[in-house]
Parts: sequence; C-alpha cells; structure tokens
Amino acid sequence: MPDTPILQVENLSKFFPVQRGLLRRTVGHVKAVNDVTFTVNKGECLGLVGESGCGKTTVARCLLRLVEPDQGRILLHGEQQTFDIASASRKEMLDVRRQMQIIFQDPFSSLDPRWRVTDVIAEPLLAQKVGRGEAGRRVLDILPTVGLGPHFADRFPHELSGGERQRVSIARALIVSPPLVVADEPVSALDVSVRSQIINLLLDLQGQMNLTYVFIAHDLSIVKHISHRIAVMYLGRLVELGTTQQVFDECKHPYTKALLASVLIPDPTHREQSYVLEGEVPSPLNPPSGCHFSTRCPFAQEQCSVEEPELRDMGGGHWVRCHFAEELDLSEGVFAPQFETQSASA
Amino acid sequence: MPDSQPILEVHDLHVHFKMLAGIVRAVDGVDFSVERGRCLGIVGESGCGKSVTARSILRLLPSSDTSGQILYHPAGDDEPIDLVSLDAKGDAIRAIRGKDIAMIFQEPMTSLTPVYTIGEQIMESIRQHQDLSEEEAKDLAISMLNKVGIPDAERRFGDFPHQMSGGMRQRVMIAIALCCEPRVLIADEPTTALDVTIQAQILRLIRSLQQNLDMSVIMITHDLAVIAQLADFVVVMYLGQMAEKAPVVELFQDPKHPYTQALLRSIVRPDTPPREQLHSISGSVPDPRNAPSGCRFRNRCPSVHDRCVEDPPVVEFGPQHSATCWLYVDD
Amino acid sequence: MSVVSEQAQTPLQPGAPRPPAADVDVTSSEQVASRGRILGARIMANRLGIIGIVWLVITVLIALFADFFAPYSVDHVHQEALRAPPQRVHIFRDGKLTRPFVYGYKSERDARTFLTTYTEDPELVYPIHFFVEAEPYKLWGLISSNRRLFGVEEGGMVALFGTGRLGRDVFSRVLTATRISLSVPIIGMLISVILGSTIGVASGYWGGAADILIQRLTEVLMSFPRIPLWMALAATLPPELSSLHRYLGVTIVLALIGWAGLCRQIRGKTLALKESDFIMAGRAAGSSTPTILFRHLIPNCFSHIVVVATLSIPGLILAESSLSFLGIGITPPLVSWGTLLKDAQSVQVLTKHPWLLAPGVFMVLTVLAVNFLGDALRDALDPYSEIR
Ligand SMILES: Nc1ncnc2c1ncn2[C@@H]1O[C@H](COP(=O)(O)OP(=O)(O)O)[C@@H](O)[C@H]1O
Ligand SMILES: Nc1ncnc2c1ncn2[C@@H]1O[C@H](COP(=O)(O)OP(=O)(O)O)[C@@H](O)[C@H]1O
Ligand code: SF4
Ligand code: SF4
Ligand SMILES: [Mg+2]
Ligand SMILES: [Mg+2]
Repeated sequence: MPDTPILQVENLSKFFPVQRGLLRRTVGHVKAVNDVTFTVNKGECLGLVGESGCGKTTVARCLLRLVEPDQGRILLHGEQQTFDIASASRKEMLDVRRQMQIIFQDPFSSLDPRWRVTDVIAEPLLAQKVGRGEAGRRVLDILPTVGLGPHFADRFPHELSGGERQRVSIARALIVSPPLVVADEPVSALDVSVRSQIINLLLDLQGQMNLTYVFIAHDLSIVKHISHRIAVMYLGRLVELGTTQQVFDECKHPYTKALLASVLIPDPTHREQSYVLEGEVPSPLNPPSGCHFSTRCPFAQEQCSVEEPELRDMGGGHWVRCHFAEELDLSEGVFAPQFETQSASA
Repeated sequence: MPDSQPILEVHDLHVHFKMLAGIVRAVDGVDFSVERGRCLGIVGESGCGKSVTARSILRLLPSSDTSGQILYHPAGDDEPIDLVSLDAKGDAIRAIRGKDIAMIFQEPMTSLTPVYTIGEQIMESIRQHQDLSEEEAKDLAISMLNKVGIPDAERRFGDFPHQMSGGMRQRVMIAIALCCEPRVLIADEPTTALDVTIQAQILRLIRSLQQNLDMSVIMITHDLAVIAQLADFVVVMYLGQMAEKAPVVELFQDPKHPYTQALLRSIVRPDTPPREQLHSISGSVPDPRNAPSGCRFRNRCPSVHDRCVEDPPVVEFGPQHSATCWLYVDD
Repeated sequence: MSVVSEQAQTPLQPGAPRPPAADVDVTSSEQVASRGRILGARIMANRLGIIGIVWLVITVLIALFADFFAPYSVDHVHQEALRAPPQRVHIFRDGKLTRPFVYGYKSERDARTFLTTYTEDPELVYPIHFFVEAEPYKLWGLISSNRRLFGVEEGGMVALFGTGRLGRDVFSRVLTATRISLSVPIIGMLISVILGSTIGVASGYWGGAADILIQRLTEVLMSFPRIPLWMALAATLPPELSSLHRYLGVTIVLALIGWAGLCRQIRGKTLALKESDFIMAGRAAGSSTPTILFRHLIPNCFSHIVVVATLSIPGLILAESSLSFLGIGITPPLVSWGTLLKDAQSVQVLTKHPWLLAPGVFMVLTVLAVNFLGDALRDALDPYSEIR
C-alpha cells in the first residue's frame, strides 16, 4: 500500500491554564500535549498509547477541535480539499466532521440518556442538514452493519448493555461515512467477553469501509493486535513512533520498554519477575527538566535531567526521543527476562 | 509445602436482594475454600457477584437475604466460626473485620475519609484493634507506609487522600488493611482503576506481602491475566453462579466449562496473529433480573443443548477441579 | 418474585441454531420497566412522598375553589361572636341521628375582666345544608355564582375554626388565604427558575468574565441573611401601591433573591455536563450550539431543576408569610396565611384563642408536604438509588 497521508499533525500543543483564587488568575499550565507531530496514512490504524494523563484524550479532542489547540497544524486531506483543522472556520468544520468522527471510551456517558438510539445515530446527519426522513432511513441501513437489529432504533440507551451501546456509538461515528475515525479507548470500559466482539467489529468495518483509525488504548495487547503503527506518549510528549514491529520488538525508548514489561501475561506457568517501572507519572504542571522520563528511567544519565532529547529518526520511520536511543540495549540489564518457575499448587 | 489447611470455607452461599423490580439473585450457590498462605482468585465479568461474595464474608451487606455457611478458622485450634450466623452489627464480626480479615476496594477514594489525613486514618485503624500509645501507633503507621512503598512516608503521613494519586491511595488502603496483620486479605479489583504500570507495582506488592506475612489472599478481578499471575486456585463466576473452580494451571491448560473456555480463547495473547478476528462470546451478560432459568450461561453458550434449561450439576474432574455444566453427564 | 419469573424466560429454544455472533444480545431488556414507570413506582414506594402529594392536591383544590368551599367571604363579620371558639359539628340530637348541625353561641361576660366567653347554646340549632345559596362571589373573577359547599340558614352561623378579633370566620379566611399563600411562592419559584436556569446554563456553558461576575454576585446575594434582605426589598415597595400590585411586587422580590441558589446549582450541573462525553459527542457530530443547549444540556438538567425548584418552595412560603406577618407583604383586602397570623401575635391571644393559629397549621403542613414531595422526587430521580 503506498503511504498516502490522510492526516498530518504538526507541532500540536495544548496547554490548559491552571487557575486559582477568587478572580481565577492563571498560575501555571498543564502541558497536556506538547509539540506532537505524526502522520496517519490512508487505510492504516495508528495506535496511541501511554499511561493515563499523558495527553492521549487531549490529542483526540484536538483532532476534532473539541478543545482548541494552542499551536500547530492539523492537516486533513479530504476527498476534494485539504483542511487545516486547527484554524478551520465553523463552516469548514462541518465539512471536516463529515470526514472524521470519534468513538468515545465510556459507552454509558457518551450517549445522551434522553435520546432514542435512532436520534443518537442520526445526530451527525441532522447536523449536516440531511432531512429527518432520509436520516431515519440511513439509520436503519447502518444498524445491521454494526450488528444491531432494527428494533434497537426505538430504544433508549439505558435499555442497552455496554456492548450494544458501544455499537451505537460506532454507528453514530460511521453514519456520515467518514474515511477517518478516532477511537478513544473504545473497549476499556467493556466486559472482557464483549471486548473481543467490538475489536472484531472494528476490524471488519475497517476492511469493509476502507477506514483509517487513530486507536487510543492503554491495553497494549489490544493495540498491538489492531495497529499497523504505534505512537507512544509520555507527559504530553511523543516519545516513540514506529511500526508495530518496531515499537514492540525493536523498541528503543526505555519508557516503551517499561510499558511492555508491565503487561501481564495470561499464563500461570510464566510468572514474570521482570522489571516493574517504579514511581508514577509526575505532575504535568511541573514536568521534570530535561527528559521528562528521567525521574523514572533506569538508564538516566546526568545529561538526561539537563537537556531535553529531540525526537530523532532511527531509520525506517522509527522515531525515538532519547539521548541514547542508538546505544541502549533494552533486552539486557533490568529488562532481561527472568521467569519464575511455576510454583502454583501441585 | 505445608499441607493445605483451610482458613475460610464458603458453603452454598446465597445472597439475594429484594428490589422494586424483582429479586436479584446476586450470589446463588457458591462454594470454595481459602487455604492458609495461598491466593484464591475469583474471576468473572461485572455483575456476576464477585463483590457481593466478598462483602458477605465480612457481613458488609446490610439489606440482603444471606444463607449458607462461611466458616472462618481462627488462629489456634479454636472451633470454626460461622460468619453468616453472626450479627452483622455485633462485636463478634467487628473483632474479625480488619483484625483477622481485611479488605481493599477498587476505588480507594470512596473508602478513605476525605477530611482526615491518611496518617490519622491508619492510626485509627491500628488503635481500634491494638492497645498502643499514640507514639507507637504513629511509628507503626509510618513503617506500614514504608512497607507498602510510599516514598517519603514521614511527609506523606500528613497528606489528605485527595492529594494522592490513585496508585498511592491504593497503597494507603493496603497499609490500613495490613496494619493489624490480618490472616486473610480480600482484594476486590484493587488494580482495575489503575494504569498497567501501577497495576504491576501493586500486584507485586500484594504478592510479596502475602509471601512475607504468610497471609491468605482472595483476589477478585475480571482480568484473567491478573489471575494467572497471582492466584493458586481459581473460582470462575457467571451471573451469581460458580461456573468452574480449579487450580490455576489446570484451569488455564484444561478448562472444562464452556464459559471458561470461551473467556480464555477470547483474550489477546502475545502470540495472537495480528489483525485477525478474535474468538468471541456472543451476546452480553444479561441483567441479573432477567437471568435465564437452568444454566444461566445458556443463551450465550456454544454447546447449549436441551438439558440446559434445567439446573446443571456440579461435575468433578479431580479432587479440586469441578465445573457446573451438563456437557460431562451422559444421559 | 412473580415479576422475576415472568421475565426470566429468554426467547431461546434449546438446540436452536445460534444467532451469528454479530447479531447479539438476546438479553436486551425489552422486559425491563421503562424509565417513567420506574420513576412512578419509586415515588409511589415513598410513603411520605404520597402523603405530601395528597396534601398538596387538597390545598391546590382549596386554593382554586376557595369561594365555593368557604361558607363566607373573607370580610363577612359575625358581630355577635368575636373570638368565638370553633363550633363542633353534631350528628346526633336527643339520641337520634339527624342531618349535621351546629349549636349557636351563648356568651357570658366576666364582670371583672370584661372578657367574653362563649359556650354552646343547646337552644340554638343550626342545621348544615349543602350547596346552599349564600353570599355571591365571582370565581376567578369570571364566573358569578352564589352556591357554596355548605352553610346554615339565614340568622344562624357556622364557624368550624372559630372567629377572629372582628368576628370573621377563620375557616373561610384560611381557605381563601391559601390562594395567595400558594400562588406567591409558586409564581416566585417559576420566575426564579427561569432566571436561575437561564443565567446558570449560560454562565456555566460559556464561562469567562461574565461567569466570574455572576458567581460573585450570587455569592453576595446568598451570603446575606435571607429574611432581612427580603424585608429591605419589600420595604422599598411604595406603601400607596394597590393590594394587587403589592402582591406582584412581593412575588418579584422573592424571585429576585431566590434565583441565586438555583443559578449556582444549575451552573454546577452545566459545568459537569459540558465536559461529559455525550455533549462532546454532540459537538463532534457537528450539532450547533442551540441544539447542544436545548436538546442535550437543558433536558438533562431538567430533573435537577425540578427538584431544586420544588425544594425552594417551602422557603418562599415562609418568606411570604413572614413579610405579610410583619405588614410589609400582602395587604388587605387580600389575605394570606401570614396576614391572618397577625391576629395571633401575642402569647395571651394564643393561650386564650388557640384556634387563631389555624393558618399556621396549614402553613406548616404545606411546607412539610412540599419537602416530602421534593425529597421523594430527588430520591426517585437519583440514578444511584436502588435500580440502575
Ligand atoms: N479540560 C481540561 N482542563 C484542564 N486540564 C485538563 C483538561 N483535560 C485534560 N487535562 C489534563 O491534561 C492531561 C492529559 O489528559 P488526557 O488527555 O485526558 O490524558 P489521557 O487521555 O492520556 O489519560 C492531564 O493531566 C489532565 O489532567
Ligand atoms: N446492595 C445491593 N442491592 C441490590 N442489588 C445489589 C446490591 N449490591 C449488588 N447488587 C447486584 O448484585 C449483582 C452482583 O453485584 P456485584 O457483586 O457488585 O458484581 P461484581 O461481580 O461486578 O462485583 C449485580 O447485579 C448488582 O446489581
Ligand atoms: S533521555 Fe535519558 S532519561 Fe530520557 S529516556 Fe533516554 S536514557 Fe532515559
Ligand atoms: S449447562 Fe449447557 S448451556 Fe450451560 S454451560 Fe453447560 S452446555 Fe452450556
Ligand atoms: Mg483518556
Ligand atoms: Mg465489583
């Protein structure tokens, strides 16, 4: 597949002011997204991972202008036209919303409890000034595509299970046939037995409708399963970007490696005693100087807390933000695998 | 290995709630035992009755019909106590709560009082069960904070719960739970609200405490990976009923109940081929008020057949392995 | 139990072909009761709530048809019976069942204290008739009539709650006063709901400098003690205002202060909802701001508004009564429970003529009833109580 970009994010930043006191004076900024640059190619799935508070949701919301980006460009290459979402007018945004839609994490809070399923799904159509009758017909068309029967159209969200609600969310996103869909942790809030249904549905739909996904998740095994390329964020910064293979098997950033090491393996005969990342994500109000990861990085050197590393190309589209990306061997030292031999009951 | 001595035995536990819209049979016939120094895992999807089971052990469910037996074997050679027969508000259960059996919850914020510092809260629970002076209690509290891996414990002692992160609060909860050296720790989804990295830290903490203090742990979770990493023995629950129970390796290598089999097939593993369809279970967990009669899994079970409309029998596959299913019974 | 067993049958034939994995959720809750029915059931399950509703229905009916229920107009004077105690209604006469009747009064004046005491006079028998023709009135200022629910023949008198200082029937006056004492708080509440929710939603949704200003304003309004503030505002109403204009004035005064609390609550709710995923989803769908406000936000605040508004009524009832009691609220010829209570100002009056407290009893009962209803609504609308 030739890599034609559909979305180019350049130097995107979003700083939330922190306000205190009676007159709400700004006392600082949460650098939720800090100078993030990446490209999404047509037809691929880009995974976005990181601990909570790293800015994943803020990136997603900036992409759809649900929060106003402070800096940067977000170029969406539509069918006829290229938009800069960061500076698009109200009218242009309506066109953008036909090209890009979003699926939210929480199936319980992302549907208005007072709207019927058919109204929920039709909302983007009505916003595009499609008539009510036509909208109703298109809702009935899309229900089977997401695995729901026509009788769901008249239900209220509280009458549906979590999985069904998430299917409704997906239908709402797809009703305007957008080529690009942002999914913000679409399965984290679902029951284990329903997760795989929704992942399968997303994979199916991507094939059928030729969709491009930006897929946010904190469950690395699911991201690995669904993504072609993966971007790793830490404290508002992009720290590693590459193909799934590059990020999982040839990862070069200590943070990515630590994330991978904390994934629990569902196998009682492999009780890993390997490295557990110490500490917690520092406050984004006051990120550590130099490399933001330096307070938790097992390889940190003096230089790390002084000088912030650049995001550098390691070749083959593999970008890493670490001073020692070339030298470090992340399969050795603390990250060397150590398996505890099986000790469960005889 | 010390031979298996049960410390807690649950026999035929039923917990029902009467509600406006009908009766919720939150727990319907659950049987298991927890062995000394071992970890029992209870796994199931949301609403299957895991928390209700846990709470009924400590008699923390005021308005419910509870029947069955929960035998607690106290230290020494005393007779076992049936916790179900105790008065839920009486002194007997209160002496056991916190001191012999302690519990930690999914969202530590709701179990910590926002208006007291964490130090005060730990000290209070120490002094409830131990006769210590203010000074001694404070020293013990700080050493507990250190033990659960809270950096700079002396300073954090004066923090309020809202000043701490979710992971730190969970550590405080563990410190409170452990300060009277309980013999059983019930952990109800302690890592569900946390990041993978913090989850790994907390699980490692629980495991090391369990080994060092020779404590029994009941680990409640919906995540089979947590079970695989921590449990010695597993109970799989579905809609209030026990689907299967087995030693952990047996459960993962030779699951018998169709629900366990399907759950295990549906999880993504490191070697799952990327972007291929995953195995999945059709449908979703029904509302407990609309649970099917007979086998409650029958509207989702791939092996469902005629007999499943009747209550399935418990079939034994070994001394410790059983499943509640018709499949293994010949007509 | 029966509810469960009816619902427990899932539409599944054993051995029937499995539905394809995509067409899922056999379980979906066709059978789960609808939101409205659950709401109704929850309110009905709350005994105090029902008591509250029953009492409120009665008082509203009384307010609407006070002229009909009251045997006399508010100004009808019984000169021969000043501060006479309530009459008892009898149905037995000489051991025989008869139509209900009351006895007239026999008055006796204490020679030393000059106080008159009244006792039943067995000689004077006034049978009570229903749907009698009596003093004419205009129902709601529209329909002329002279039918009243009950009364006694010309020359007799009936005073179920006794009479006041000037010999006016307390029963008739309390019933008539219900009108003002209910309508002032309700209209005041409606005005403050409109003010409070519009300002609250706008302030919460757009934020910015206006929001800060409004918040400080409401804080100032709410930090003053209520009653003195009301008194100060009511005192600015010119004394020469007609009774009707005063009525409107008092209502507006109450509303002008009442909106602040509601505004803060609605703003808080708006702030929370604004960040909620379904509003985000609405914006991502491309819906316009009016759609977001009027179709997502306000409907979802609505139950909250209803509860807050209901629970604000007792305060307004008490406020109107206090102002009227102090003479700076409702003025004659209009009557409210507060103005009636003016007759019962001294301890001496209270100990000797306790029936003059009847308006106070109505007030307390109504305040309780509204509180019961408000609590029942809140519990019923609370998504975390009992049922999902
Ligand atoms: N509306 C907001 N106002 C202020 N701070 C915010 C807002 N939204 C997010 N943040 C902060 O920005 C950071 C990134 O948050 P988020 O994007 O939600 O992270 P993630 O989705 O990776 O968990 C967090 O520290 C969060 O507290
Ligand atoms: N106090 C209660 N009153 C009524 N129903 C309850 C109560 N607590 C739990 N339930 C119901 O019991 C079932 C089991 O709940 P729970 O044990 O919390 O499930 P989980 O396995 O997710 O922990 C659920 O259907 C829940 O709605
Ligand atoms: S720059 Fe230094 S601190 Fe940052 S990740 Fe690389 S080695 Fe670690
Ligand atoms: S009893 Fe029947 S329906 Fe239930 S799990 Fe066994 S085979 Fe499936
Ligand atoms: Mg997020
Ligand atoms: Mg639970």
